[in-house]
Amino acid sequence: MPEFSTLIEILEHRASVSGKKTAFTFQGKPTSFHDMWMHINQFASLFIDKKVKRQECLIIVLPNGADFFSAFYGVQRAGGIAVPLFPDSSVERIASIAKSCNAKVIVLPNGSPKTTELAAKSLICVSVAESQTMQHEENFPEIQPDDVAFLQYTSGSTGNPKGVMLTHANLLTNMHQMITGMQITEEDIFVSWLPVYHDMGLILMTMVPFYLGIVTHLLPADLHSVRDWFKTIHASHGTFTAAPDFAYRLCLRHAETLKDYDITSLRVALNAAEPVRAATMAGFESAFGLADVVVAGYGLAEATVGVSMWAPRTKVRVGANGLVSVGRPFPDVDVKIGDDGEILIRSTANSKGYFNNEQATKELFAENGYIHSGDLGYLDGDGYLYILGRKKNIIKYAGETIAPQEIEETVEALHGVRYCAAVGIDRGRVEGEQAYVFVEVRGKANISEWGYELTLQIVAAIHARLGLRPARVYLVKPRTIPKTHNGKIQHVKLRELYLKSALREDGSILYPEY
Amino acid sequence: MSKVSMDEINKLVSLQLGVREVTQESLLVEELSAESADVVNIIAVLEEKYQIIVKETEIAKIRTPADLFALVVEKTK
Repeated sequence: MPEFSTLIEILEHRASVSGKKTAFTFQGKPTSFHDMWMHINQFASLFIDKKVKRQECLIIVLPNGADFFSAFYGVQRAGGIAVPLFPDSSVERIASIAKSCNAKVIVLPNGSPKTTELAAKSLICVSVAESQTMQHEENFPEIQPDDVAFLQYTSGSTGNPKGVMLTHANLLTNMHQMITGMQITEEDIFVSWLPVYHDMGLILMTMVPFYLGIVTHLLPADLHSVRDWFKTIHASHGTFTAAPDFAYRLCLRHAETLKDYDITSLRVALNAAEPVRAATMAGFESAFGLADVVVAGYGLAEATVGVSMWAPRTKVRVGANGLVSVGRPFPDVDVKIGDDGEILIRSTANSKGYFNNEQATKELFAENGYIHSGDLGYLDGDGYLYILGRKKNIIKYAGETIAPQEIEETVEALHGVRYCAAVGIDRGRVEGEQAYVFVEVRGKANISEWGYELTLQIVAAIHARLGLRPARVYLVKPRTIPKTHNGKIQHVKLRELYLKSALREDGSILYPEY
Repeated sequence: MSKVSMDEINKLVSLQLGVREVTQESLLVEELSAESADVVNIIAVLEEKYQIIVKETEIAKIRTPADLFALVVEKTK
């Protein structure tokens, strides 16, 4: 395989040597490498036309589909930095991230209702459709391996979204590491419904196949029907897929209707991005006739994406405490455990830090080039890694990291709210960890009436900002939420009080009455 | 324990989803844009409130508040 130094070189090479080959299908509709490259160039021309400066950030708010790739790589082709965001992001969130990365241009779906509101905030909104009438630019800037290709925004644990800078070199390095570690070959066929605006779905499930010139079958990023996932693996004889643990559990719920599909062509079904349960892996394999195919993996945006994965076709190792090992670190990824049990990572795929955020970047790095993962874990005698949990209080919802502070800020902005605390609780259900929200309110007269109205507003506000709805919202008496002397919320203590029903028993919960 | 009513179920669904307009025939996923996690959370509340246990296979069949109502009635007989 030729040596590449940027993502743009890869795509240009693919278009020239295997232009007619299908790069990806979306809901069954194929796009060739030639056409993808043409759309990328058209889109890049639009940015050159808009006088985008080298390494200027452009925000992309598009769902899974062909337009996403045109915009994502088009921005890079024009020398800019792509900043993909969750497509349901609110206008406020888009504007706040635009401010944090100095972006002036936002890419939205054609005719998006957000256009007017964002334009009112002096942001320029464009769509992929606009670029298709563009005159093709000839002089694109030279892209360097150390140029930042995109920012992966993570909510972090403080609620201030941070943009992880990933360079072309970081991405190529990590792709190499994953291809070797996961033994991915040109024979593989990828099937994915993971969001392309997020690291695992973007880098592992689309960038890696583009790199190898193999096809990826892409589906919309929702699991309203897991049937399409199975149907696509069955029809395409897919060999490689990935999802968080909850998605595999969801398949078990619908096992009866999914058994019509044969998914035994799968070589790897990666289980990553949230805690992996041994029972899920065993259950999924036995329900669908697989053996040593579901493998646990571990990664984080600050190390590009992949850090380790269990080797396919080998029996998984389960630790004494019932934890599934996420395998040995990929080649050239050095993992060690800090004194406090935190997983520290050193790799050439490590990010340079967070965009425009020196303080957070300083805090990311430990000694000797290691970065703090924020996760606790251990290595066994043979160098296999196990993940114990998180160092900081964050909520893992359907594979995404949500900072409680984001929920808390959203709720505290509502009229009638005194204070709010959000914690993640896993009650052992298929869907895994869910957000539980505690809201201190003043007074309780007629609460059965206004409590309903306020709860509706709380749920709607959280959903609008973060795209999730809490498992429970409780309106509670003032001073119910435990805090330290200096006013920090004690999330762990609150979770304990709630789980032992103490809040209900001492009358702290005012609404609802169940 | 009080007997379950259709109004109670509709109100509970409304609260969980943050949507005011809920009728017994509203489609949870297609019309009220519930995710599977939301449906399970609604069921978890019903389990707590009415002290019932709902099996995974039963969850997959829930489409509307009326289905939830029927489920609770059946389990609290």
